[in-house]
Amino acid sequence: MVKTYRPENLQEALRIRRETHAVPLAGGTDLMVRYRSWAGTLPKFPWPVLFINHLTELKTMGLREDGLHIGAGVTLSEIEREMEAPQALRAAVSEMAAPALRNLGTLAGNICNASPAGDAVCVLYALDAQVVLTSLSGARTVSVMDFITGPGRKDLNDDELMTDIIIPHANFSHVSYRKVGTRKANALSKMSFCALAKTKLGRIDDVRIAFGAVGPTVVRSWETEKKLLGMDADDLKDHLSAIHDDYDAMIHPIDDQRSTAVYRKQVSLNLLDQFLQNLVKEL
Amino acid sequence: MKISCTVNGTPRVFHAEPHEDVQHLLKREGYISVRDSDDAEGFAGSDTILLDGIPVYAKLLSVGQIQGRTISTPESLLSGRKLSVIQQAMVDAGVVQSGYNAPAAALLLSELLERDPDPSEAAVKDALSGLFNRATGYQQFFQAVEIAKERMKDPDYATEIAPEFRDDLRVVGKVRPKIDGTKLVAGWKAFVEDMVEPGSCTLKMLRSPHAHAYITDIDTTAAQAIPGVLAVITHLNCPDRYYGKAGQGFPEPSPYDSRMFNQKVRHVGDRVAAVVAETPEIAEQALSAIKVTYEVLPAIFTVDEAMADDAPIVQNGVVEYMAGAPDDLEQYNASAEPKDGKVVIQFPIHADPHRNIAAGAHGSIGDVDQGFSEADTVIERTYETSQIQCTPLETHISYAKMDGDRVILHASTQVPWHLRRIVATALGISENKVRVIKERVGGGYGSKQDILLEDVTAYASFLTGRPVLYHYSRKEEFIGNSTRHPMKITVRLGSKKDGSITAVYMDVRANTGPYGNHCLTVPMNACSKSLPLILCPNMKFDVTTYYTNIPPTGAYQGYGAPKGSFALMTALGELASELGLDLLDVIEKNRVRDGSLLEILKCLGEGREGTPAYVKSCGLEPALTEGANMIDWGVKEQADDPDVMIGKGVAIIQQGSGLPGLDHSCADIKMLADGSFMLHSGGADLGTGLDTVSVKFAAEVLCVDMGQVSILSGDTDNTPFDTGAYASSGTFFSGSASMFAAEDLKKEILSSAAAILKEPVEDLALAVPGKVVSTSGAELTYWEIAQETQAGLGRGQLVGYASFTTEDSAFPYGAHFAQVSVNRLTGEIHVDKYYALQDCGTPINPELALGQIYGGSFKSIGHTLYEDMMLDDQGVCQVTGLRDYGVPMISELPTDFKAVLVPTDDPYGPFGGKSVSEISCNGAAPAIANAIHDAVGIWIRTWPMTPEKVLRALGNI
Repeated sequence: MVKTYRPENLQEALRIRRETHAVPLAGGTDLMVRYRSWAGTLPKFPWPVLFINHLTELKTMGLREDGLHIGAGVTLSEIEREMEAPQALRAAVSEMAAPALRNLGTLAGNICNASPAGDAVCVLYALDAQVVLTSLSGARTVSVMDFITGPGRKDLNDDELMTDIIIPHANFSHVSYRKVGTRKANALSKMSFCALAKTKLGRIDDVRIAFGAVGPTVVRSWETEKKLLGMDADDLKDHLSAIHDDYDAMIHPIDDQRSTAVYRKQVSLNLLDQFLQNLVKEL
Repeated sequence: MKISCTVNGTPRVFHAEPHEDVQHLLKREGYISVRDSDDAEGFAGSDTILLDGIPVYAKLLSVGQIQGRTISTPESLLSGRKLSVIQQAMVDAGVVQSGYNAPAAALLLSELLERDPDPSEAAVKDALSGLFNRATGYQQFFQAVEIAKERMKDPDYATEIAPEFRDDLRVVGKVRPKIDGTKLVAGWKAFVEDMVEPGSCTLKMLRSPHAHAYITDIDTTAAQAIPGVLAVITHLNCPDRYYGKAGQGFPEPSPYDSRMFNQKVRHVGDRVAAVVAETPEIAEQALSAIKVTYEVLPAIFTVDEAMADDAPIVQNGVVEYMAGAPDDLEQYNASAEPKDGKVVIQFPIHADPHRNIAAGAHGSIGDVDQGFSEADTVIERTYETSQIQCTPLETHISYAKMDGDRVILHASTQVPWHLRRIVATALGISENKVRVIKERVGGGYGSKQDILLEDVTAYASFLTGRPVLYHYSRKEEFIGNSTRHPMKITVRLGSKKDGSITAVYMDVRANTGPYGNHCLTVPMNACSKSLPLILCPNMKFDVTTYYTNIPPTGAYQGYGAPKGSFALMTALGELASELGLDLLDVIEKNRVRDGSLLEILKCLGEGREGTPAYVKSCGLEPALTEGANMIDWGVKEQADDPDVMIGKGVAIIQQGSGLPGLDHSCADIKMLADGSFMLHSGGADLGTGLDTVSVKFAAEVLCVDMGQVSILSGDTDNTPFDTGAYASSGTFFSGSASMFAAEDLKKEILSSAAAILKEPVEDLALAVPGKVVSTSGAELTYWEIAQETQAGLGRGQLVGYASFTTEDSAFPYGAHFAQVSVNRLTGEIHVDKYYALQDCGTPINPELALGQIYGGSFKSIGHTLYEDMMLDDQGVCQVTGLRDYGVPMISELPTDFKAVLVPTDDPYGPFGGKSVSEISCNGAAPAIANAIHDAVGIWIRTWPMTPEKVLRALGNI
């Protein structure tokens, strides 16, 4: 028999988490699928479950000094409707699932899933998003890319709960988010691409480029992005093939049932080239 | 644990297991409209409820999440028996057909309209983006929302829902609500799962992990020792009988090549053992306690592997013939392996099981060699189609119970009578000991023609005396179900410079998988439903079907036609391109037309001599003209995005209307004491509206409103025989039987009235609303006639009866046009426009006919572009759910999607009607292949036409 807990408040949730290491379930849209059984029997959780979807402390969302804070209990639908949320994130959230999933599922759950194919995670990488991990001993903040350590693996201690996601302030003049799937909505993507750039006086002032589902984790390179900073249209034109080659060397997708490695790689580079060429035109 | 929440306005306290999901809870508490189509995949939406007013999937919700919250189920939409505005609008728009998750759709749209009384098309798409609908596609939901929106402002709002036909008729050809629409959209008891009594047992199946193996040992002792396990059935204790599972008429053109369980397993997912237990949990526990030892054999998965000289033999058993055995049979069987069992062939079908050949067919007209030598250009191309799934929303289900010594089967089937025959055969009892009750079918599409689980469910109940339920999981649906036969089709076309075709050769190599269900007829259909589209004096075909170890195949809407059409119509496009001619001109030069004699059909009987047929009605000319206009044929379109190229394509298609000479339908109709009518039809309405067709025919003939005619259909105890709903036979065969039964009753009514009025019968006629009028001015109401005939000294209840058979054919035709955008960076293909123009003779239910066309076209767009049952190199299906399999959802709808009815009046069809549904599956693949070529100059010759294949063909990978 599975043990389940329904704490009254966050403090109690953290205590139960420390004492039992019960697995937190907010929306449940991932866990209920993963531990489902087939035809007529009940889901089979291999561990105790801690319900946190009703905790009001986790349901806040709003701008603060360090950026947009999204509580771990905030649903994807609520983020989609939040005007302060970055455009690319809202697009990713609305395309990733049908309303009945968005209405239950949370971004925190999506991050904890640690899937290299998570569409929202690709965008969060590009946005430099951070997560707040809280336990009875205190809280720590880590970047999403440090939090996700591999497919399905994450830096979460067994007494911690993810309580908040922080998206630092930033403005972009160029936003490109593409989810390439077999079908549009409600499908896992073959690959996703998120590129953000800000230009100032004809030069690149900020740029972030992230590729989802092309490696064990989302691919993003500070080194290459740094090269792009300060470039004007001519510089960028001269460096198009070098940048292309940089990413070519970094992207190592696999074959799976949704796509082939060779396709994922080619499309990643096609979308990169297109983004950079458009940038050249608009610089 | 104890859960307090509010359901549909009532505070409730439930006792639940802490890990129970909310769909499970609601269903067992009687909220039966909250169904499950995906085993908690969060995809199909049949389990949609509102939680505090917003839509969620109940199957993904744990009971721990609903404490103190408010739940609304589709039951909340009703006021008493009255449908809500959106529910009624859905029925009126024709979008409720098989209707399994129609209640969920109504709930979603109702929530949308509450939020936004004037929703945009995008808002409707978003609201329904988590709802899967296979039967009608999604197009008519927009219309339902429009109607509901207006009726919310003005309850009397009326609009033209669909064009109407035949001014000379009152109900036939007119838009009328489907007669079971209300009960389906309301979520009332309708499906097999709704008939299950408390205390019923569960059957679960242990399935083979190997693609090809002998079971060398199977130990069920531990499983049988588990308290609550009632029986374990294996190849060691099952009935020792071979029987056909194809659900066809007897004698079947499919071999009997399996028993209930076999010592040899032939695909991953093949039956190994069935457990019958008190609960699903005990059944699962018992499954894991069965110990099986396998001797694994090399396996084959493709036609090419099956053809190899040293190929492993899938069916290496003793071959027997019920008729027409070859002289060398004894010698042939010398190499047979007893562990492989038997292959019992009913009559010769060119089978050679020991060389993996399940069936074959060969034929020709004219002289093809001569034809090719006269050609200026000859092209030869090979096309491949993939294995695809029917994916009904209601997964396969069977519920059996005993009534004394009789087996009662509640079935979701297309073939109640074949099912009765096959179950009786399997159990070794006579047919009177079996009763099949066809319930509403939550999607069939062919897969509910095959007998996939009813035999073992019936036997389980027969053995244990207990009611037994077997309900497939979605995972089982992918490995234990009939699918479309993969085919490799080579087409050779010879043509003059001007595009006149001088010779056609078609070589069809089909993959039937482990068993030979439909192994002759599906592949033959690839020829018989495509070659007659072209008028060419020289034609030849070779059909060969191979056994392999892929998951089983069988019937699927369109049967062989979608594959034959894909090959032949794409080849026609390739020929036109080769000749530098316009495809539409080439089609026009060669196509079938009114009055054509289809000589090739003489070689294409289903295992018997065929008959050439004349085309008595053909709407291709108006269909092609109108379609070309709609899509601006010949005009090259430019996209805003420089990386996107646009192209247009077309295909002409055909089907049949049942199987003349093979199909047989019966009906009777009785006058009740007040002059209303009870119609008993053998027809199996699988959601398409066949019952509505039958009622319309009876009401039309008897001059009454449809409300005066009730129908019972598909119950083997209470309705007369019918071969079933397959091969597009519903309207033409079952409908004709209802029409002629009503005609027969009409004679009875007139002769009774003549006797009562003492007037000559020639002076009498039926008149609306339900009376007999005489040229003398005398009148008798049906009430008066019924009172008189059923009085103490009356002549007895008036009954009409008909059995309908025919040798005449009524071919439906169609032209499908597609416009696609192809993205050169990603290879993505988007269908911008899809126009399906179809001639179904007189459209009997115009709005339902449109729904069938939308549904068939859209599912075949899915087959063409997305759907894929990937197998790994061990034959394990990598797909366990609808999401990964890739069924098209509302977000994939063509931007502009139109189904158009092109009426003709067929002399053989009832009220001029022909079939409409199956043919809709035949156009998408070739129309899209031709459009892709027009866009970017590449030919994609295999399904699915993925972005990868596009980039590869473009040389980008």
